[in-house]
Amino acid sequence: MVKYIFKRLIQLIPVLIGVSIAVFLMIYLIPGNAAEIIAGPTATKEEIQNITVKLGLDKPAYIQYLKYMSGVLKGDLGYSFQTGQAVSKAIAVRYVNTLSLAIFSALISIILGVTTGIIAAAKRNSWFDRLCMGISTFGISAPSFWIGLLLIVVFGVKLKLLPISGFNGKIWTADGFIHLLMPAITLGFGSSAMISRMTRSSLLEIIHQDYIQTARAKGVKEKIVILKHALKNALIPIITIVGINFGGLLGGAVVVESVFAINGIGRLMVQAISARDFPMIQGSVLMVAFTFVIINLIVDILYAAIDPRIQYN
Amino acid sequence: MKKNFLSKTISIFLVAVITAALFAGCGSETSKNSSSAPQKITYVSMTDAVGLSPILTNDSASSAVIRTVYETLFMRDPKTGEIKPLLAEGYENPDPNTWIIKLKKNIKFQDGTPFNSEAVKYTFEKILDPKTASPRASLLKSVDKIETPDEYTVVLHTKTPYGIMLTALAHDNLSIVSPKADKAGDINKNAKGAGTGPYIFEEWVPGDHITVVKNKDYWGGAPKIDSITFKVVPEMATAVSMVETGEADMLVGIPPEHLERLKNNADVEVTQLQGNSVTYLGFNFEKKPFDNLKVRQAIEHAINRDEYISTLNGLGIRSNGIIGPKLIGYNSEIESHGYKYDVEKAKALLAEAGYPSGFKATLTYGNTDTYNKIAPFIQAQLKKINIDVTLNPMDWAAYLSYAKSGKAEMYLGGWSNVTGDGEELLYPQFFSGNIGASNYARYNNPEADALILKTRETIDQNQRVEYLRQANIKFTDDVLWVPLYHGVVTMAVRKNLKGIELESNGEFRFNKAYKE
Repeated sequence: MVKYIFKRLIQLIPVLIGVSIAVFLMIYLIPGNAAEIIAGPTATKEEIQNITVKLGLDKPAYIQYLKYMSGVLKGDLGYSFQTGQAVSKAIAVRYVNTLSLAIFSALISIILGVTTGIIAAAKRNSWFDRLCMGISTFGISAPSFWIGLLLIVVFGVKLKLLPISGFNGKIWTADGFIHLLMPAITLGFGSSAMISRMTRSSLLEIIHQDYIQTARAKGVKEKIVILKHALKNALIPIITIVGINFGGLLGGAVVVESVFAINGIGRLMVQAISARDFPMIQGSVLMVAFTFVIINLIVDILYAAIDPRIQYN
Repeated sequence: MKKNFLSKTISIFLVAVITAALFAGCGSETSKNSSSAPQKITYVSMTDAVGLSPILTNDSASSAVIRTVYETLFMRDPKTGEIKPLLAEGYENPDPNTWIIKLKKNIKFQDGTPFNSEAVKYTFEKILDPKTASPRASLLKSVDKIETPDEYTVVLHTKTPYGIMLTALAHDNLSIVSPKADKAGDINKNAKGAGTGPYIFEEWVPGDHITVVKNKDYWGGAPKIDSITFKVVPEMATAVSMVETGEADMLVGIPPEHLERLKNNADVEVTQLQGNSVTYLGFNFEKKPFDNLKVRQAIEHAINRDEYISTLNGLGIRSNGIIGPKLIGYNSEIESHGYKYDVEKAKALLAEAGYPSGFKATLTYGNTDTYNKIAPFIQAQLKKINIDVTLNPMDWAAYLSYAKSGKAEMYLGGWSNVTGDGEELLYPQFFSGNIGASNYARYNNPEADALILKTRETIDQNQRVEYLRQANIKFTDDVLWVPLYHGVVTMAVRKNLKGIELESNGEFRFNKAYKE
């Protein structure tokens, strides 16, 4: 297993190099450049030229890329074109915020999704099943910014129960927790809908198998049948969807981050792309790509932990 | 048994939700108490500042902070628009190329460095140094040499007469920085002690907020406000909600769709003021048929501007001139110029120009809410005279490149004058030397160039205003732009916050602010 993990981590290197080249080419090929954005629409040709030289954008593309990558290999992600801030520092602050949001919303979505999914499967075709599946269809189709704004109006403006914006980066504090509650529910809702449907369908497939009937015939309690015998075998697809969703929460949190004014990595990426801030885009995309690979690895390890038939050599 | 399991699960979930809500309720009570703490302001901004140094920035979010920390030699009177001394005491022009500026005495930067002629020289020379790559170096482009005959006198020698010197010196990006602070560290990231202003920079959490605190030793008298937090909230609907609940104290630049909501809130005061921005339809003069005056006249005749302005909820004003009513250089006689909505006349002009059955054209614009709304309107209006418009929305960075390189045919733009002077609009937009940069129209007319230079170089201010008046008439008659509407600036403030005056350029100062 250790060998397998090591092998997977080694595979990260070509993935990240590939990502960095793709990002560089995209930024290089799309119109617009950082110097023009910094100079603004009023700028003269001299002003744009001076900024271009200062940022090194007058050098050939491959030199810009190699210079950047030589820094990365030394652990230096460079400095933002726009603000001059160290990219690693800018990412660190925002990464903690996004990760807190993603973990909190993943927990909400797992608790909500798996619980409702199990009950819906156990009570197939009951009113609860129909209600859950109805809500989950709504959850999948409703855009997160709309749910977010709705929560803000209800819990923030009308009931004045929850703060509308910001997050201090410390989810373990009461202040951090209440600030993250609405964004996490907004983000977790859509994801829980998907998990709920997956749990239900996966469980339904399992509970009609012979060994479940045998367990029931032996007089095992229904709760044990569902939670121990059936759920464990239904977990593989659920974990897969949780893993994919978690990755999505990291990269796709941008809308929720904007709505709730959370200083996260999704928002940072969008701002950086708008400003053609190459070092910032590159740094944040590499970080998100890295996290995606690690999550996939964790999911693969979990498969083996849950299902003894799965072994990695 | 099954029933038991189901009801248990549901009750656990309900208990969790109720606990969370109660927990949250307690928390919001705490935050409510802290927000009502005396003399603290939270200002919401859609974007974060790019930096904190006036020398290295050129965006409105940075300027809002810079205006609290730093000061300029001159300033624009918020009411009259007149340029008056701030850090300067006064000035003299012994000849058109010499500006002798006397400075106020006994002013110190927040780091204790004395404010004097050396500080002014240091700041301006740094801006002019190409290595600094200051985005607003052009404000001092005419300056040839800076002398400091004594501690409180600065002499600016220009290569050619620079009639808008005082306007330029009132620009936020020519704020004076403490040489000691600037040499000691990067004031673009940490501006502590770097200005002479009423507030001292305290903290910047990039992407989240900037905090400035009261400068107790401010030369103009310490402000009443203890601290101001510039909070970044990218979503307008959220920012509006924050002002509604009191989580934030003020907001500017409110779009039409959110205005009513704020006006209906008894705790919020909304200010609407005629602004100096203009939103326009521009043409690339190097692309046919837009070099033809009759075609441009036909297009202006075909657009029902009043109809569009009626959708703006009072946030737009009709004025026929390119230089709008709030700018230096405006004269009301311009309202008898321009081309009224008249589709038949438009068709006739198009036929006279040789396009009786219309033509195809592309309209390029940055895909912001404002332009996304205008573009289909223009498309529908021009369809009536058989001009088949293809819409070409782009992200802002791409739009800047596209328009600068002369690829656009027709384009939508907006122009806001920080200085409130018509020259700040004409020179970047229509001077031939700025083709390839800010002159997206690629307008190249020696006669117009000469007139623009006169509006820039004439020292006699009355004469200069006269040249601006002439230019406004000439450029409006020649339809260099179709001015769609002139802006209205907006500000929403919690009613307990007083003393903030909105200016026609959308800016404001916190110097006299206080909370009741």
